[in-house]
Amino acid sequence: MNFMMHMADGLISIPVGIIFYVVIGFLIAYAIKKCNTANLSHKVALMGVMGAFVFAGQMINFTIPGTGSSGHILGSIMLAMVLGQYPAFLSIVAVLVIQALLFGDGGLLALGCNIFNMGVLPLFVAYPFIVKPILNKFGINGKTLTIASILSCIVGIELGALSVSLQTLASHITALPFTAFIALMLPIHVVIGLVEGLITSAVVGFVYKYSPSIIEDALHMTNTVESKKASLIIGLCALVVAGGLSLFASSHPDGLEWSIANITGSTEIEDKNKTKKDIAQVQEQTSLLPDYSFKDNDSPLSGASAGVIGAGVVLVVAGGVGYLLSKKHRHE
Amino acid sequence: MNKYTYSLFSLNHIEELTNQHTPIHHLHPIVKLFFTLFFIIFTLTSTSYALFSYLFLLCLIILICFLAKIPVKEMLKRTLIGLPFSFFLGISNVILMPTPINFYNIPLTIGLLSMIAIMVKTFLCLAIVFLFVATTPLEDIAGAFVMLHVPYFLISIILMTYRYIFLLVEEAGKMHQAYLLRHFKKEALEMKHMGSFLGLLFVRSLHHAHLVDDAMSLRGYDPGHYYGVHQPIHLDDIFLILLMAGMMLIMKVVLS
Repeated sequence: MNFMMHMADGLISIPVGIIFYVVIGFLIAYAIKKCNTANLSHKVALMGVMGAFVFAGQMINFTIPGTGSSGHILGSIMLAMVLGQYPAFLSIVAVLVIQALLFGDGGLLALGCNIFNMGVLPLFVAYPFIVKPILNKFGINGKTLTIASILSCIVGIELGALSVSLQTLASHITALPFTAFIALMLPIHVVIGLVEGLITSAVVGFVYKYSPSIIEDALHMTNTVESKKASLIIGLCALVVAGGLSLFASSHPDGLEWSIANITGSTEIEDKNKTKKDIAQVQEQTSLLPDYSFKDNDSPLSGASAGVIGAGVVLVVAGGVGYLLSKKHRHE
Repeated sequence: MNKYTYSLFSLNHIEELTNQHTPIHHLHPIVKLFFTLFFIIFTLTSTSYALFSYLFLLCLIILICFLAKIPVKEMLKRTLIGLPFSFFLGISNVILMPTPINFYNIPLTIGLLSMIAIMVKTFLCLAIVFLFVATTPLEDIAGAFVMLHVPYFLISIILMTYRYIFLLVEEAGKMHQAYLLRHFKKEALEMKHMGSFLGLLFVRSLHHAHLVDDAMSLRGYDPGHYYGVHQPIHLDDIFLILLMAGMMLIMKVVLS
């Protein structure tokens, strides 16, 4: 069932492949540094064997009741909950490299995308923002492990499926509209995520009963996300997406414009109300980057520049508001 | 043969293929790696209409199979499994792009041509990666990564994972067989047993990992040190690969 997430080389373009290689390169270097900081460099054997465990676990198909089909686990969240975030990420990288090289499960150029979809999103988004807060706040017990596993698996797998859709569409491989693509990908992956979450909670629950210290050590292995470094990484990602991926944005109308065009023959609805017309005129005159580009310049580079500027403005405004709120809170 | 034994057999078979002695096997791994990436980039930059480019690349694949003594049937078996998703994605193009075209006097639609191109590209990329892996032992691939300054910590994990796949797949197979023998008429694990099954496999793997880790530490293993032998790159390796890459570029220019 998870074969949809192992993208082949024919499904992405070269720029998309290279961009994601660069992104995961930084993240792998960061994960290695964190493992060295946590004095885990001597645990190579542990990470390697756990990677082999995930590989072996992926071979075990289970029947999904009521569907007549079967599936297998992905294992990222499970590994993170028993090994820790960064060792789990490196183990998953090893598994995906071996799958790509030896089993043709995913392409070589698409390896960066596959690691991002199945490693980065579950382990750098779902795990630190769902699993860690739940377990740190409510303690480690059967209920919290179950809730954390299910939520993080669903979110992680959904984000991965969404990322597959975005990467394929950014590569201009398919003529399938974005809405149709995600309508095909996302619902099935909710089911996959739910099943994986249930299995993860069962496995982690079993391991917790066997030896609670394994789960506790994995949870407290690394500090919570360091805000400065996290901000830098997220900022770099925003720059790559806004300034890089935007160059390959589709020029087709979005879902709403497409629907309007089918009904009215135009992508925008002309409004005859005078007040609305005046407001629209004001907006046209005051907008610095109309339609996400410089005025009278529709080139892709103009769009990319607008993306970078926009991301910067959002950072300043949101960061400023956050700083003022935190200052007010400290003062109180 | 159950799927666990089949997977181990497949892995063993690839290792046997890498142990042959042919001109392709003797090429330096880093040169082969760069050629593989060049081939993939060349394939992906070809348009849907580049029929002769695809035919040329296919001939190149068959030539490499012949020179490296890799059975074409084996290569096809490994690469065709990767085509279903490409097919499903391509089907959407067939439906959404119905404009007819005359392609070398064959009546097709743009969507159908696009679908064929996606599947051919996927097949060619998978084939070249399989040929790279079937002619290069994993230790040599690791050596090539070391030369490219990939951190040896990550390479160690990859090598360790590969080595222990055999052990753990065999362990998983035994546990699965024991389960099936105890649960008459079942063909797969029930979901309610998955947790304890995988949990037990995990605990056994963890125990084994600790033993291996302790044994390696006692023998002075340093994860930051590369224990392999750096192979020197010979001029004839570079010459051969530049020749093949040059032929591909000339074909691209001539056929475009």
